[in-house]
Amino acid sequence: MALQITPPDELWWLTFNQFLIGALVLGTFVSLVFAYFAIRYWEKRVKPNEAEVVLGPGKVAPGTSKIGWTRYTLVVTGIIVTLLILATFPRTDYVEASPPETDLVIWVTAFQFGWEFEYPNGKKVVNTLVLPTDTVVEFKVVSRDVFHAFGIPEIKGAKIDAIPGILNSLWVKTPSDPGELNVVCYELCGVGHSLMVGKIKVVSPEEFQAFLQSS
Amino acid sequence: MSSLRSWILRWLTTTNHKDIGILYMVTAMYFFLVAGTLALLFRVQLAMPESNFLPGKAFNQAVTVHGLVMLLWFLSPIQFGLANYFVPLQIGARDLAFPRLNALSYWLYLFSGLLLIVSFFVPGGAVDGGWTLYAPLNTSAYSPSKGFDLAVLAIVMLSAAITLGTVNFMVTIAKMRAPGMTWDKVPMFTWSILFTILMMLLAFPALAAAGILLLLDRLLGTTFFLSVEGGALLWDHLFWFFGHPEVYILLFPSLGMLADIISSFTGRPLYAKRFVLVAFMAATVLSYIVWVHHMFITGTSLLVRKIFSVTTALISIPFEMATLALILTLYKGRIRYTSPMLFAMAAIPLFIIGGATGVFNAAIILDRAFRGTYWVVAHFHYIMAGTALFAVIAGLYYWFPKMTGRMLSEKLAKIQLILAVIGINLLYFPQFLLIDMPRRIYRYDYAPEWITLNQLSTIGAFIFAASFVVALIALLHGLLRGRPSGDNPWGAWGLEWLTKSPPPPHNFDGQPVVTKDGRILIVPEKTLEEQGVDKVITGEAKVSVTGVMTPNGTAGHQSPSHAHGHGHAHAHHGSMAPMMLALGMFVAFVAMPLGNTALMALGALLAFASIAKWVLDEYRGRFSEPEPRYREEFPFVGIDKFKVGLWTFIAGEGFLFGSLVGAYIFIRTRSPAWTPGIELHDVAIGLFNTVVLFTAALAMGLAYYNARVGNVGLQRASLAFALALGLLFMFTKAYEWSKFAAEGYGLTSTMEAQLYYTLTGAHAAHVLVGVIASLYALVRSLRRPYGPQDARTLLYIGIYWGIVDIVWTFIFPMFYLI
Repeated sequence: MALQITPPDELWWLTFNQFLIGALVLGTFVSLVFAYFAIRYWEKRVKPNEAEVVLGPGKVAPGTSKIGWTRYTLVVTGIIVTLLILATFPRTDYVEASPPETDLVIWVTAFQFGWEFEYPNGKKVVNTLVLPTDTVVEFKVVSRDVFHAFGIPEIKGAKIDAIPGILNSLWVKTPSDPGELNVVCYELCGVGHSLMVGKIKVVSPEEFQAFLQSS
Repeated sequence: MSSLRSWILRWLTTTNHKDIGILYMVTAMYFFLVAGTLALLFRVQLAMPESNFLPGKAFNQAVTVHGLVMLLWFLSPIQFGLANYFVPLQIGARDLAFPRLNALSYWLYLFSGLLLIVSFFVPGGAVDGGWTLYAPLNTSAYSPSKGFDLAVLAIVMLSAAITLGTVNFMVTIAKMRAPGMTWDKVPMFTWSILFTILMMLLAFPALAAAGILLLLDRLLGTTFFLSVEGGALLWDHLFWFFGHPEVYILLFPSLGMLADIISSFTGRPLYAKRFVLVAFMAATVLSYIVWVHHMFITGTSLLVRKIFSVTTALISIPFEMATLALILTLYKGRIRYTSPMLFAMAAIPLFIIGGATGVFNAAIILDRAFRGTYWVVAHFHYIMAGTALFAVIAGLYYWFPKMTGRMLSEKLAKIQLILAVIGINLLYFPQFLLIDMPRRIYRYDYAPEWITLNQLSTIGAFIFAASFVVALIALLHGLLRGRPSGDNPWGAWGLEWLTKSPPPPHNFDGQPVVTKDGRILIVPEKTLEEQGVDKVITGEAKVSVTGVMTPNGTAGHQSPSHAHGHGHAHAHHGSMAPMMLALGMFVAFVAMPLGNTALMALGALLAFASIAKWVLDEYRGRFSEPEPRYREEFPFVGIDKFKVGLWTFIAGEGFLFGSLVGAYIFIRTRSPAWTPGIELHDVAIGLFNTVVLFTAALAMGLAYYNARVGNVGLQRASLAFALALGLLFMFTKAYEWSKFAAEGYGLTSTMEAQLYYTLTGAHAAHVLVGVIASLYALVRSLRRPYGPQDARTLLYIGIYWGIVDIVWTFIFPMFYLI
């Protein structure tokens, strides 16, 4: 069991929180400036000598080119946004590559309207997958008919398109406690799309071995 | 009774840009009510996920039609309704460049929308594949509904309407600005429309190409979107190449309106306007290289995804810039909080929320969780139903007095604003928290924790809807009971406020001129003649200033000669042909999937009769009128409006063929085996046709030359020769096709055959247009030979032939050689 491997969803939360802080800081700053101007220059508050009204009836707005201190804001926000994206790339590489160590490979075939799972030993199940706890699982995802998207809502970032003729893969680390996860289709695939829900039962490794050997 | 008849007839035949603008707005509001009602229906289902209020197929239909109609038949059209009305006014033009084409755009838009509405009532019901119509669910193998066919036909028909519209606005903005209206002085709304049509021009052909391929799949049995070689990803690429620019197509006009409205009610010009324009231009270019961010989890190569991730992050910068410019416009202003200004100001925080969350989506690792969830729904609804729609409301309220001569109730507008702000945030903010919930599901038994958030969202939806009920009351109240507004109730800047409310058919009583220092003068034509335009612009000439008004003032000046002349010219401008052409197409398209040949023939007949009537009007010069003086400026100096229009149209055609060639390359690179064309096709026939086609263009060139030098005999001979060559090409093509079909190489035989027939077929359709144009030129030449003054018509037909040739130079090697 590969306990030292960082699960992709942990990296997802890390990245999300970084973006959230960036967005909140910049968004709050811009909103405060906006609110300040909106109140400060309201005609009922602004003193006559403070307002410089240059446009009015019978005029056309000129092409102003002064940019003043906004250029710095632009450079700063530009750098922040680009850095935020570039900073995600090493994590993206990690998440997108095959897992450092794979304990289990599951073949997933999406169809209208359900999921077929195949274990390495050839055992096939429909809609209910049993997985051991604390395990790195790689899903190999294909579709039998239309465009589906395989996703586990409980694990952030555990989602990949299931497209006919294309083999996509995705890896996750299962939770360390036994429990139940959902498998949900994230791309409208027809009349039964809403009901295309599978289950993942996360069980102890011993129970899993017993399940795998059962017929 | 007869006054009612003439009233109806007026609206059916109008070609005036203001009338058509109103038609667009009213029609768009109707579609808004349809799509909004659908949204309320599925919000009710989502608040009660255990119920069977709107389950299964009906739910899918509701979300699909809601999305398609809101984006394509409401938001863009209502913006273009305002653009139809106000772009010519803002730049001092008398109408759009091609009024009948403008009417045709509108009628194609209306009937394409009705096609989608009708689809609810045909066997199988309306389209239900999601507004993105993903393949291969969109093929008849998985979605046999006839309503699906109608939806795709509607999209193709709308694309045609939009392409015509882009040509019209391009020429109008490029060629028809009032003297002195330099690029620098063009108002932001008009600028934003210019950028919007630049994006439309390149994006909609991709959608049309995708639609045409899908129709071939659905109606004639090809397998572009069903096969592994094309399939889901071919659709994804074509659709999102359209789909992402479309986002900015919907946003730009709204940002333009915000800029003009905020300038008006602060008395400040848009902060850093030139930089904002550069930003818009950058966003226009970037909008074409971000589409793969919709495909971050389809299995595209990681390097490609990273490149698109960076471009997506970069495209946020121009919009940050635009937002900052709007905010800084307030600086040192005197803000008057009228109803349009309140809506404009409310749009800005919504844009900050929608824009900031957009940056999250640019990160590949984050997008894996967002894709297909309510996070994305919340993000783009903050932009579309928030920023874009609030700006449209602001625009409607800003220009309502100009269109009707009446004021809206400020009190009702404020009630509406409060409801809208509460409603939209309650509606969409909880959806950010529904970050794991898939889109387009009507049940979620496995996640009861989503129910409360969904119920909050539904309550928000009804409050938001209530705000539009208030808006409707406000509009009707204003229309019937509003107090008279005068000509410039807001004390606003800009040309549109220097004419009566509502403006006369010819827009201005005199020629608007913008002076160097930004003053607007409405000058009688006679004064302009006497003093010279240049001197009026520089301010050297002494003109009696007219048209400059105080707030609540009235346009006092009346130039008798102009009011008379143009008023009459407009009275004769009505034409039934545009409406009949669109109606004919509607009838034919409704009948097509239903397999009703008789009805199809009737529709086609109606359409062709309308085209014939149109050509006949042209031939008789029924609508020709002298051009008023306009501003000529880089890069359009010395290029007449037909040429600008032709090249704009050709650019659109180029992207249509480009998309089809792109589909060819995509399919070919993914095909395991491909027979080189040289082994499959008869190169001799191909070469023969190449020579024929090139000679035809040459013959048109000769006809043009002989018209210029006045050699009537050679002019007619050249035209007859060009026509004969065009026909020869068509006959050779028909021979080739029938030979192939007889050999078993039919349309659906191989992937290669499908592409061959589709691309050469699309090309042959263009040759057919060339043949018809040449036939028209020949008949016209036999009756009235072209002379130096109108030889340019032949030049344009020649340019068209040249383009048909260039397309062929791509198609010939693709299928006959390599």
